[in-house]
Amino acid sequence: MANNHAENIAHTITEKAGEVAAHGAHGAHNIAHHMPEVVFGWDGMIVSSVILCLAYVFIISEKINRAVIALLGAGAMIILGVLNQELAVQGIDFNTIFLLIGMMVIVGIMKESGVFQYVAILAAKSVKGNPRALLAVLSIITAVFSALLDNVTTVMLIVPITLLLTEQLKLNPYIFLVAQIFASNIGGTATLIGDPPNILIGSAIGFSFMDFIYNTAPIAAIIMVVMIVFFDLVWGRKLTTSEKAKSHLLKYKPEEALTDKPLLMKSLFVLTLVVFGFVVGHGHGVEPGTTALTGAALLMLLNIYQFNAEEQTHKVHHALGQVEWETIFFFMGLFMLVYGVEHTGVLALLGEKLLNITGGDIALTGIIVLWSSAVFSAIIDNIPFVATMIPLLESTADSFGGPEAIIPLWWCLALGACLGGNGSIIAASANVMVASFAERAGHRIAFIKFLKLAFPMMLATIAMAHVYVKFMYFS
Amino acid sequence: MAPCSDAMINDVLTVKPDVTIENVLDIFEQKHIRSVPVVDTDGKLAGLCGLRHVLKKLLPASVTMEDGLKRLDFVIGAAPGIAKRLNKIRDVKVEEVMDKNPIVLHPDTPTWEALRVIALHGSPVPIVDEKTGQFVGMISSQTLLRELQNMTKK
Repeated sequence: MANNHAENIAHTITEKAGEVAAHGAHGAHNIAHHMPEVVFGWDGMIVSSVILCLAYVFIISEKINRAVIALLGAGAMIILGVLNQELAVQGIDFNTIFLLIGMMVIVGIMKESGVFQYVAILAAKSVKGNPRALLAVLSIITAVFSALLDNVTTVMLIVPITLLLTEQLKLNPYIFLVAQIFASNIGGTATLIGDPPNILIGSAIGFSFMDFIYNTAPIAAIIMVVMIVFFDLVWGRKLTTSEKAKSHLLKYKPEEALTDKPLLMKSLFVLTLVVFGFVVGHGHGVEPGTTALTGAALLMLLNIYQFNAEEQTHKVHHALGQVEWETIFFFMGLFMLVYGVEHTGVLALLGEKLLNITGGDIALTGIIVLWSSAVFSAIIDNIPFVATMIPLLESTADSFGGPEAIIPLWWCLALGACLGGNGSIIAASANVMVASFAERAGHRIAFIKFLKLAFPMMLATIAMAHVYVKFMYFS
Repeated sequence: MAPCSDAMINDVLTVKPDVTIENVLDIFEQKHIRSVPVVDTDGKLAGLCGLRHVLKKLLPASVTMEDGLKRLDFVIGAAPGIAKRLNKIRDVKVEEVMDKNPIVLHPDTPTWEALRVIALHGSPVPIVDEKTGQFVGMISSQTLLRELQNMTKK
């Protein structure tokens, strides 16, 4: 079964590589007579590297918004002649962009139904307000939602209700929020659509929804179980509350939180269709971006058909307003930036360096990719890191014997980048979101305090992933 | 059109930022008012505290914060808790509940603009000196209407 599956992937990848090659050749033919020339005769490799490094410095410093930096960097790549606009646009992975936009619209509509509060309150009642069990169930809910939706949306919906429940039970929400940060990153690791690094990798390499289910989901599930047990042993078992506080919570009516049942049914219907589309679409040449964006359009249709033209425009305007354009433009700018260094051959050079270090040993390369991407992702935003690593690793494919030989490297990169998101409070957008909620509620999550707990825990999860990849791919 | 200083009340009761909510609630009760400007020792406007701001403090932070919970209708049986919260916040200082950035008008703002602000954002509105930030007075829906009536008589 596993072998068969690996063959399937290999087959798809070879196909995809063929397509890319054909497309590339075609593109080159089209623009051959106006290839860009770097201004003042400067060296393209140096100019593009300097632009990318400057962009990284500004992104890491967090002094200026990341989308603005990425767009300025992309503009510089074009204006200084590293790329022309045609090439820059080729660098944008529209499958990723469509997938992100589609899911943002679907989730944006779905959240209005109140389903997230409903599930959280139902869970709190089902454990009878027991704080120890509540810590575990809220983490599980966060992990499951993060696997199916994006992490930031998940925590935006789960954190306010967590704050309310903990306040009702007179508990300090700190450990609940920390557990949810971990759960969101671990849950996101499990699926193609769970975390941006997975979307990037899946889209670039052509991995299907099920590829992630077979490869990252098992270890994500194991790590999640270990994490829940750990949180329970260290904090959960010590949590106590009064019977009176519990009795208030037991009077909550979760069904009152469901503000729009028809909307919920429509959203669940479309979400199911979309996941189904991810699973079966891959074998029929339908990419996830198409599935998600078409699903979003279908949900908007179900949501507006009974209204007149003006109300329809208003509703569609609102639904599209749910898209986090800052994220979308960050991705677009980043794709162009990275394409600049890829185009000039910088990343292939770095790939060669990596091969020199590892001596062409695939297992050693994989382990280095796993650990370094974890540490990098804890320090910087994992999205630019993964976007840069993809073409870099792709360039090593030939040395290892073709695209199928480096498949394990992609899983190492996905696991390292996603799980590395737990390493610090700034490592993933979802962490930052939880921290800002906590601050608003007067329970600040301090950088160092979180780091002391989270970084070693992150390293422990990477150690588990290390054993897993060793066993799965390198034994 | 006349500036809004014409419709302004100069003689306004103000409180310092460090008075307690209990004191402010007493003032509201005795003076039959719903909000009071909070003015610091330099005479600068620090904020505006109304009954609504006090009520807002009774809500859980998860509801009042940005992107917080949109509704609370699933919470049933928490009323005793709310009553207790009122006791708890009595000693809280007014600067912790007041609106720190209220909409303000200036003495030379035209009455039309004052009418727009009050009609769209509610009454009363503090009036501060544009340059120094000094608190000058208040304009309310009543004083504005009275001034408008006076103008028609003229």
